[in-house]
Formats: sequence, structure tokens, C-alpha cells
Amino acid sequence: MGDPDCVGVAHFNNSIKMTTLLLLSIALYISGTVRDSTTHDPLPYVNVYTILHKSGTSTDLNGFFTLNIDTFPEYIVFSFLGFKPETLLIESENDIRPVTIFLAPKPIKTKPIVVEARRTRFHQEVGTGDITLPLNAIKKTPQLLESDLLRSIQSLPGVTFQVDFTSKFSVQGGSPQENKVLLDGIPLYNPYHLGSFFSVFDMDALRYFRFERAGFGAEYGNALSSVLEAYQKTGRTDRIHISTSLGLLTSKIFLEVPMPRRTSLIIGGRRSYFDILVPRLTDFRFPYYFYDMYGKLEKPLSPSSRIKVAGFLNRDIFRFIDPFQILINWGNSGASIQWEYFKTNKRLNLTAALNKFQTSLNLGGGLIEINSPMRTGLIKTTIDYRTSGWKNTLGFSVEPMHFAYRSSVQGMEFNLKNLTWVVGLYGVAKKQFGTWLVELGARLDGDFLKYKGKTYWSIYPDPRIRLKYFLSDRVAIKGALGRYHQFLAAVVGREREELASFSYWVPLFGKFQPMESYHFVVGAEGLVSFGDWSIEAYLKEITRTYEENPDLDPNNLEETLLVSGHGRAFGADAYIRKDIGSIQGMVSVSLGQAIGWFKDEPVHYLPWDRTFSADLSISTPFLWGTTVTTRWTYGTGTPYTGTVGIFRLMHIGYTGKTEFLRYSYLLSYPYGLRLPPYHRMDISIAKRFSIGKASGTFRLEVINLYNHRNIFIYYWDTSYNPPRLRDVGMLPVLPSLEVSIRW
Amino acid sequence: MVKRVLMFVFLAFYPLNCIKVSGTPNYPDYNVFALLRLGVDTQEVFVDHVYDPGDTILMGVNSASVSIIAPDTQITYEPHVSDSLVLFIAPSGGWLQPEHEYTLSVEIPGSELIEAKTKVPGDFEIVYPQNHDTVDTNTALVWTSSRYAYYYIVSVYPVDSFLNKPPFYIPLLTRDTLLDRFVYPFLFQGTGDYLVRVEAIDSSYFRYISYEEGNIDNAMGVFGGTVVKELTVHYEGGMPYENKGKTSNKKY
Repeated sequence: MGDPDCVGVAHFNNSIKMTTLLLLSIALYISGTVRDSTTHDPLPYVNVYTILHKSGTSTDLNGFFTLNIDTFPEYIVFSFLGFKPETLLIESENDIRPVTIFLAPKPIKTKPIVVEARRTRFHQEVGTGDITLPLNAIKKTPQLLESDLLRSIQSLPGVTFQVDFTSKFSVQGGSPQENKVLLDGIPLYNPYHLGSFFSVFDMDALRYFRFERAGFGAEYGNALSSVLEAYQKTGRTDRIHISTSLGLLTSKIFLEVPMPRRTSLIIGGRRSYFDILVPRLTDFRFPYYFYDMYGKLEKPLSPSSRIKVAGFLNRDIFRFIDPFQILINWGNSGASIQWEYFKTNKRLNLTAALNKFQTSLNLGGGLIEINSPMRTGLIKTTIDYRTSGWKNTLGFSVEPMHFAYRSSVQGMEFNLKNLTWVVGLYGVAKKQFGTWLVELGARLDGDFLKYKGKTYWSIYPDPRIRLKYFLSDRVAIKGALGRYHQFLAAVVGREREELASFSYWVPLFGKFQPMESYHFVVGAEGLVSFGDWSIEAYLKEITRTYEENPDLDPNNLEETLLVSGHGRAFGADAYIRKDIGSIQGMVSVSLGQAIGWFKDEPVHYLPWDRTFSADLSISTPFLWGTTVTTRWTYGTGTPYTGTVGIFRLMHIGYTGKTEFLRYSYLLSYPYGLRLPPYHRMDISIAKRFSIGKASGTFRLEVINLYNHRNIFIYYWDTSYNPPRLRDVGMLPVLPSLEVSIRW
Repeated sequence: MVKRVLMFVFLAFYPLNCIKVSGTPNYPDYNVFALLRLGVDTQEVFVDHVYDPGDTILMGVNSASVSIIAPDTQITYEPHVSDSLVLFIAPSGGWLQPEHEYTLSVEIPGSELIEAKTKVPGDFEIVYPQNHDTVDTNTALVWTSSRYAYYYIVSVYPVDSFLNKPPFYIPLLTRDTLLDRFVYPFLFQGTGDYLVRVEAIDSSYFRYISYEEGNIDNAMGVFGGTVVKELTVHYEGGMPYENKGKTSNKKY
């Protein structure tokens, strides 16, 4: 099994003197990581337990475990359904050293691996608001043109979207700007392509993701609504693995390359090709394309330490030359280095990262130029350790953020820049007391900056408490309470937020204090023979939030850029999931309300408010070895600001007489009207195939199968009398094809 | 136990649904456009509905009673159909004076009285050029200041456009009383006769044309006062960009 150089199975000669620890029963801890022997990815929720004294634990999301050993000899078993178990003999104190265990996959037909992981998670995690979906489940679900992580999130309970040609999402009444998106712990502030049509995540490079909604724990700061953390694969070291795919939108390649000294390397990329294909078929020069590139190198330095170096680059390019030159490009680029070290009952993780989000606009060959780079750095350290049954985590992070905005409009220059430091310190302690699982957390976050000769700083303590009470081995009730702050705000108008490809982020200081909300969550969750279920009620009091000021004064940006407001969101979400057997699926429903009020406005619904939504997805084997996945989504209409009256605007015409000029429109209160309900059915048919040593999947997908016209916007056409109500629809029926091959 | 928890959750959160969320503001039912224009032959008022979207747009409200209350008199307007609009018209006369205040009154059966007040700006004169002068793009347009005027609208139209299709023109809004070059923007479209109109407007009309703001009680629209001065000039020359004149240094 595994790599003989790693201390996977330690069979030591019994020449080591037995210590008096047996009598004194002083606690010792053995720690290490558990990995998949084929992919080398860390395995979360692996059961780790001692045979003789029946104590146990499980690995965390990074495959790390710490287990208390107080008697010798002892056998430690590593067990996870779908893998061959491994056993480690600890004969004496001298055998206590960091270990890396490799588990070999063993195909299981009756029960999927995810069930075992879920059972462990159910008992180990408090989990208010957190939901996971296996990545292969996301890949099976019908998607628009290709699989996308952020679009898949939209099917989860409590998650809504305003328009279906965007991958942006709102979580339990929160704004899209209040969601934190992380890739291997690195925040991505604009993770979108093509008008937020797609995210920058390539599903082939991901091994796992975690999504936390209301009541998320103290590990995460600088976010108000939710946290989505994606983890990249590790990369195999047995031989080169290649997978490619060709779809209607992009083509992709992903390589896992073994390197010397048990180092793994993954490299991948994708590019859209409408700009190459369309001119060859028509006379039209398609002006837009995007690409992603990423790579990660991971090397074990010793049995107890590991280093990872990763980088990524995303770009969107819009190039329109004739008759008027428009050049726009934007995207992220970044690199990170992580060092992980564990010993006995402690694990240390150090991360350093740099990220740059760049936007540049050039109109008319320099007539208007805008350049706006946002550079962020990150230095983060976390320590996990166990004492007396407590699982503790301490963390510290420093994020320097440099914002710059430079524009030149026909020679008129405008230059704004600022360096802000966001600092966070947190602690989490978790312990089981009988049938109670208690997690106590707290954060201390603050920011510091100098602007125009003045120094600004703020510091906020944020307590976070999460509890779980087990009614039985399969049912628990849970609750969470916490305060949250966010030190950045996206400068985007409310009307455009869902369609913006990217947002300009600004630090909050001076007159604009950090955004703030309070979360209260109660609920219940449970395991059933075929899956799991959860029901949660939440309340979010958003005591401070911001949006772009429509009346901003360019000569006084720091005072007029944003307007402050309040919000409140409450509701309940529920889901039940079946992932045992050949037919799998999930039903989720959400009820909720999100209201807000800004400046002098009356209280109104927020644009992402959906009173009721439901999502049903089913995946089943079908004829000729295909797998058919169907998804149906329903939601009550989102609010919009619409026309409630029309009147004539008059003027004195060139004849000197009173004449009709044009119609003027009287609007409802902000978001005072509702669009009609939204519903859509999507279907995906997938067929696996093999060609020699290669295997692949052929996938046909149809979005909006029955072509229901979901309304994006209404407007009145006053060229008719009486005026006619017109609408712009969202996605019509849209088929797509994708072929992926793996070697 | 689970049922009790769920009931607790429901009862705990139910009272939160007590914040009233606004839907539609109350808008007036009628729309009135009324200007008192000193210097023209007739005065016009337009009374119309505010329509629900989808309603048929009518010619106006011909059942209204429209009157202007002057300092010593009251002028009643009569309905006329003009270009598919119902306009209420009254002849100009001695009752309309600069720097005087007037009250508009519109009565419509079944609705509240519609009222507004305005003050007509003071009189002024176009000093240069004179009527029937020949001008070019270096000619300055100069007028005296009008008391209580908030802005001036300057419009230039080809005279023969009144016989043909509507002309291309861009009215200029200015607070100055001087246009030092007669070129803003594309005022002249070739050799010919042009009507130059300078209209001193009050703040109410300015806010209406700039921001669609009104000043009428119980109605949308505006009641404003203006003073109109016109003259005809002859322009010799090609399009404005063909002339390379210099800025006039005449002082008035």
C-alpha cells in the first residue's frame, strides 16, 4: 500500500522499552494525514479509531487527524467506505510520530462513499448552514454549456438568483457582494467570466468544495452572508494523467504530472473559441474570448510536512475595432505558497499569497482610458490542536489590499489609490459534552489605512456560537448565533449588480464603517437510510450595508461614493437528499423574505428576494448505459421597479406652440412590483465510453426543455396606443454538447 | 421534540413579518402643462390624464374648466382641438404683464381643485443683432437681462422650416445673456433666413424641462412664466465648420 518511504504502516520491532506512561496514562497524540493512494488527494471524514480502547476521531477537510493514545500497544484503524482499511500498530511511545496513510480505493456498489463521510460529518460538525455536494453530482446535473460550480450553488436551499444568465447568487437574503469565495484559502473578489455568466472555476481541477450559509463559524471573516471554499486536486504521482473536453463554449485540458521525489503537479487550462470559430463560419468577427490557466505543485518535505505552490490566471478580453475601437480586459492572477506541518496533536498551516484583479478599458484609441488594478496579499497562519477532548483552532491573517483607479477622459486625468490592511485573529474551540456538540468561536477583525494624510482604523470583536443537540444517533437539532463584519464593499448599482462581470471593491473607512450583520439560526438535521435531510430557520439583521450612490460627486468620492442602508432577511429552508442506489436526487424548498431600506427610500424588497423557491433534481440510469439527470426549478418572481403610470411631457415646439415631447414614466417604489414566477426544466444525458486506455463521457444537455419564457424585465412600448407591455426573456431552450476524454 | 422546536421557530420568527413594505406611491390623476408666455399672441394650457400603463392615451381632458387669476381679473380659457390635442386657449392681452404673479386654477368634475402659482419674468430686449441683419458665425447674440428669469432658452430655426418638415435644432440653455459666437452647435445649416428666439424662463419651467419636476398641487406638470423675444436674421455662408472666424470682442 502506498509509498514505502512514508510511514504508512509502522511495524517496529518490540525493542523499545515500554514506558511508565501505561500506568500514568499521560495523554499522547498521534497525528497525520490520510490520502487517496491513487490521486493523493486528502480524504476528509475518514474514521480513525483505536481497537483496544475504542476511542476515535475523523479526518478534517484536509485529511488531517489527531488521535489521543494513552495505552500501549494499540492498533489504529483507518476506515472509509469505498477504500481498503489500513491498520497501524503503535507499540510504544517511540512509535508516536507523524504519519501519512494512503488508502487504496475499493469499488463499492451497494453504498456510496459519500454516505459514510456524511455520517461522520453529522457527528463531528455542528454544521448550521453548511451543505456539501459531491463534485461528481454537480458534473451530472444539467448545466448551461458546461459545469460550473457557482451555478450549481444556485440549486441549494436558501440560494437564489435574479437572472439565469448569471452565476451570481444570493444566500438567504444577502447581497451577492456579501459572499466570500475562496480557492484553497485565497479570497477571489471577482470570480466571474462573461458578464458573470460563468465562474472562473474549472471543475476538473477541483476535488472538494464547502459551502457555509447563515451562522458560519469563526474561521471565516470579512464576509457577511456565506462562504464558498473550493479545494484543488493534489495530483497523482503514479503516471501522467490527461483529461480534455470539448464543449460548445470552451475546450479544456487538465494534466496530472508526477515529478521526482513524490512531488505532484497539476496543470490545466481552458479557452473559449467563439472568436476563432465564428469568423470562419460567418463574416462576423466575434469580439470576445476568455481563458483560464492554473497549476499546483505539491511536495511532501517530510512525513510531517508538506509544501504547496499554486498559481492561476483568468482573463476576459473584449476587442471591438471597427468602426470604433473598444478594448476591455479584466481578470485575476495570483500565486500562493502553503506550508503545512503537524506534530503530535498540533497542525500548523502557513499561507502566503498574492492576487491581482485588473481591469482596463480603452475607448477610441485612448480617448477614454480606465485602469483599475486591485492587488491583495495574504499572510495567514492557523494552528489546530487538541487538548482534553477540545478541538481547537487559532488563526491569524493579514491582508494588505492596494486599490487603484486611474482614468483619463480626453486628457482629463483622475487618479485614486489607497493601501488598506485587514487583520484578523480568531479562535474556535469545539467539544462534545454527552449529547451536546458545542463550538465556541470568536474573531477580532480590523482594518487600518491612511488616506489623504489621515489615519483610519477600526476593530470589531465578533463572537460566534454554534450548538448541536443529538436527539438520537440520526437526528439532531442545531443552532447558531453570531456577529459578522465585512471591510470591503462592491461599488455596483443595485440595478446592475446581477449582470456586472466584475465589481470595483473599495475599503470601508471614515464615514463608511464596515458592513455588519447578526445571524440567528435554528434547525434540525438527520440521516435516513437513503440520504440526509435538514430544515433551518434563519434571521439576519443587516445593520449596515452599502450600495453605489446614484448621485455621487466625483470631486468628493470619499464622502459620496456609497449610500448606507439596512436590511433584514428571514426564512426557512429544507432539503431531503437521496444518494443511495441507482436513482439519486434532491428536493429543496425555501421560504423567505429579504427587505431593505437605503437613504430616504421607504422599506422595500431587495432585488434577490424570492418568497418561495423549490428545486428538484433526479439522476437515474437509462437506456443503453446512459445516465439521465433532470432538474426542475421553481421560484416566485423577484421584485422589480416598474412603471405604474404614464404621462405626457410637453414643451414649446419650434412653431412656438404647445407640443407633445415624449412620454414620462411614473415608477413604483423601489422593487415594488413582482415578476411572474420562474420555472425551468433542464435535462442532461450522459454516456460513458472507452477507447483503448482512454475513457470518456459524451454529454447532451438541454436547458429550459419546455422553453418557458422567464421574464428578465418588462417595459412599455408607447409607439402603440394603448401602449403594449413588452418583455425581455431569460434563457430560452438551449441544447449543448460536450465530450470529455481521460487518459 | 422536533415538532416543538419547529413550532418555536415559527412563533419566534412570525412577528418579524410586521414591517410594512411599500408598493406603489400615490400619484395624481391629472397632468397639466401651462405656460404664461409674454410676447406671443395666445396662451395655451394642456390638461391631460395620468394614465395607467396599458390605458388608451386620449387627446386630453376637455371637461376641465381652466382659468388664470390675474391681480385684477380672471381669464377663462376655452378648449380647442389642435394637432390631436385638446388645448385650452386664451388670447394674450393687457392682463399678462412682466414681473406679475398669477394663479392657475383647473377644475375637473369629480376631482380636487388643481392650483399653482407663478411669476412671469421681467421684460428684456435682444440688443444685437437687429431684426433682418445679416450675420455670420462670428456674430455675437446679445440680450439684456430679464429680472426673475432663471435661465434662457436660445433656439435658431430656418424660417422655411415652418413650411416644411420640422427642422433639426438643439435649444441651448444658458444663464448668460451673451452668445459670443453664433456657432453653438450647428445653429446655421446653410445660407438662408433664420428665426432667432430667446426665451427667459422661470425656475419652475427650468426644473420641469431639466428634471421633470412639477409645481402644481394635485397634478403632475408645470405652471411657469416666460418672456419671448424673436427676430429674423439672414445667414450668409456654408456649414459652421467651414468658417474660421475669431471670437468677437464686442462688449455690451
